[in-house]
Amino acid sequence: MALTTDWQSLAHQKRVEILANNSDQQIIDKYRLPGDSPEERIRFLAQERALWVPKEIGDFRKAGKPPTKDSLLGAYRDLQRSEALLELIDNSIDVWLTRRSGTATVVEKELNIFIDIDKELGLLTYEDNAGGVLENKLIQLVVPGYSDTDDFSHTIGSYKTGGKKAVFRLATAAQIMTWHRGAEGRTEQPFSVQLDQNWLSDPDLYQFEYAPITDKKLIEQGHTKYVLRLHEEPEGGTQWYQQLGLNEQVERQINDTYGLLLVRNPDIHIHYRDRARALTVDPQALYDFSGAKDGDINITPQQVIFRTKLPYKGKNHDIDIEVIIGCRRGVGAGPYGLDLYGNDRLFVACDQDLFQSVLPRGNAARLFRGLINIQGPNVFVPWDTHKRHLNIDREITRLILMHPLITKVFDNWFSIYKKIGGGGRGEVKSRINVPLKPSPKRQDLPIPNRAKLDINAHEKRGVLPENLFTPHVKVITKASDRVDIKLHFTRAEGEQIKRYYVVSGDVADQSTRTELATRIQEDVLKRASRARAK
Amino acid sequence: MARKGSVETRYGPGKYAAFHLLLGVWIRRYVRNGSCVYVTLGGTELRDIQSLIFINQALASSIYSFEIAADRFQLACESRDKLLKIGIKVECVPTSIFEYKRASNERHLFFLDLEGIYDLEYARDFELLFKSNTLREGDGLLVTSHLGHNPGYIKTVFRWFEREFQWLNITDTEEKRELYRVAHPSFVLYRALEQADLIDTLSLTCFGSVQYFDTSSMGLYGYAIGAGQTQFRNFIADTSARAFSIPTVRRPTAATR
Repeated sequence: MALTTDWQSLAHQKRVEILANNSDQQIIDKYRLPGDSPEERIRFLAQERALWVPKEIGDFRKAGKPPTKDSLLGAYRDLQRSEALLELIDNSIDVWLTRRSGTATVVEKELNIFIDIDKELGLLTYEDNAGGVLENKLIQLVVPGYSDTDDFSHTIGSYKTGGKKAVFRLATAAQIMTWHRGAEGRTEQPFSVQLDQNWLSDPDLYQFEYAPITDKKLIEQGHTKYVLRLHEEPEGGTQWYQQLGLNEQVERQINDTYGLLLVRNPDIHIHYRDRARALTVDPQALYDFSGAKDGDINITPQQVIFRTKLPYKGKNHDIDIEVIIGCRRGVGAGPYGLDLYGNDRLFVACDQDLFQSVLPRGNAARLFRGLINIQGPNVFVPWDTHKRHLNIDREITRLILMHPLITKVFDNWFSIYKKIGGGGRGEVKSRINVPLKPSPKRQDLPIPNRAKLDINAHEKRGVLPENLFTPHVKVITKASDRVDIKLHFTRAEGEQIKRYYVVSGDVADQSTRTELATRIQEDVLKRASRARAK
Repeated sequence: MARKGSVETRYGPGKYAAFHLLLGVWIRRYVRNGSCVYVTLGGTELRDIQSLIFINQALASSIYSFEIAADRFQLACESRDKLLKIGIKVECVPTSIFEYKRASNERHLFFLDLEGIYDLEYARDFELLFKSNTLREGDGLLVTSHLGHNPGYIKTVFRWFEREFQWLNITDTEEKRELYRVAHPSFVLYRALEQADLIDTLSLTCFGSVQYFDTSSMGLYGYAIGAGQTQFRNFIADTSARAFSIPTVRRPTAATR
């Protein structure tokens, strides 16, 4: 007899009652339970009994209330200023790209984002021309959890809290003006959402006030404009936006976070405190890869896009895992490690932990430079709500670390770093200091070796196709060609040498010592070869 | 094992005996009348290849010998030319054995005569060999490890394999030392298999290990790879059960009453 009642569709209280008054077999005979086999269904019921203790509890009562705004209020101490601005920028980019990809009839050809600060009044203005917001969607600007973004959108935003957190982080009071641009000929009206100090500090108040804007000179159609009365930071002193260093820090973070995205989307312009000049990114400088290539060496960087499918909510979804990897031009100062992106937006810079256990030891690890960019539904990007950490427990992270073809691409490069680091001291290292040639391919990084590979996410064994670029370097090693010379210095001598070679950092740190060792070695070898030449 | 830094690699009588013993076991248990591709990091003299051919001329359908050091590679090529004169064809490859690209489905036997301890550093190399299907079902593996010096048991070895000793409930220092000598390559291989996520796909069996002494104390360990699962406890129990030690010739001591 077919079982018609689905166990999961019953109310919780009802299920607990049934568990309390029936045996496993009686439940199995009557209800459709999760599990493909009798063993799985019995295990499921055992779990249910252990979880809800149905025979040991009395009558149910009700409790609970909607959440308060406390988590948003906490954004003030949880989020950095620049991160708050990044959240607003994320939203602008998502709205504009989504509209441009076909859902809107009228879209601005270029997205312009303006961030200005009125130093005298202490007001920050954030404005974009991404399309504006309809009256019935104003709630999306203010109340967490409301957004057009869903888990499957190929967006940066994914937690439906970002823009709201930003307001709480930056402002003691805020006005958000917006004027939606719909189809041509449709009458639209601009609105002003007004969030006063009381609204921004009351944890239980969710209803907000808004009004139509009668003077349309205040805002252009298709624009959204946040005017934020900034928190005093620091209280009573020179404000952060008046301090050159802190202000530059914010600008640098915006540049780093959207560098790749701006290269790939030249129609997006971010103007930070200068309406006449948008931030610019040099694709050549974003990743300073070695372009060394001749008969014995080819370590020009490589891009491989691994295309796969991953399940979510019962369906498979297309995901691209883009890997770009190359070799730095030296082991000296400068960023190294792996940058992690989600839909072209940086969320972790210069990670050295993800592949830490398999990277070559010592200085050779400083040759590692690359990125992983996960492109697809935002739910698969393994970032946290602030987009600053990698969640190593996510399935996609495991896939990156375990898949035979992805790991092989990384391993090819790790063995190159090892060879360069270990072999032909000085000789090979000098050969890698070659800048990469500019790429004829516009709107992207200058990567000469590109490939796309379809992979099965569940595959555990496999080999890369023969025609896929493999970096190589010929290092002549001999069984007896290495001499290790140990040098010992006092801390004072170490400091002296550090100053001499203009190396920063604590002389006791491993990274400083490694850099000093390299400098000393290069210097001595240079002097020795000069002496030989005489 | 060659002395680190010396150009020629040495194939002493102890290794000769150990290699023959384990090769014999592998052939009897797994190959019988079949053949294999022989892939070796056998050194400059290619004596292991001569041993292989001595035991069964038809065993190796093709032979690859890897040597990354240029000076040793040159010597290996000279040995290869000598072998060619007596009809043994060997291809010498001047790269790391871990870069070997498998081109056939035929059974393989790998011999890694390493310079030093087969330690956890090798787990990644073997993980990649498993993942790339280079080392797969039906294959055999012979690997040496240096047992001649104390690597620092408490500070090094016990930390490397802390997890393995815990799983085996071994707390006694002496017992740990003994097991390390007999089974540490199995620990490394298990880690490799685990990192490759192939514990439920491949079955590793240690078909024997032999401790010998030429210029220093060494171990040669033999493994067979099959389809199936590898259960850590069983794997290590098998490893321990199949250990053999070649007696060392000692100087006669004065007779005592």
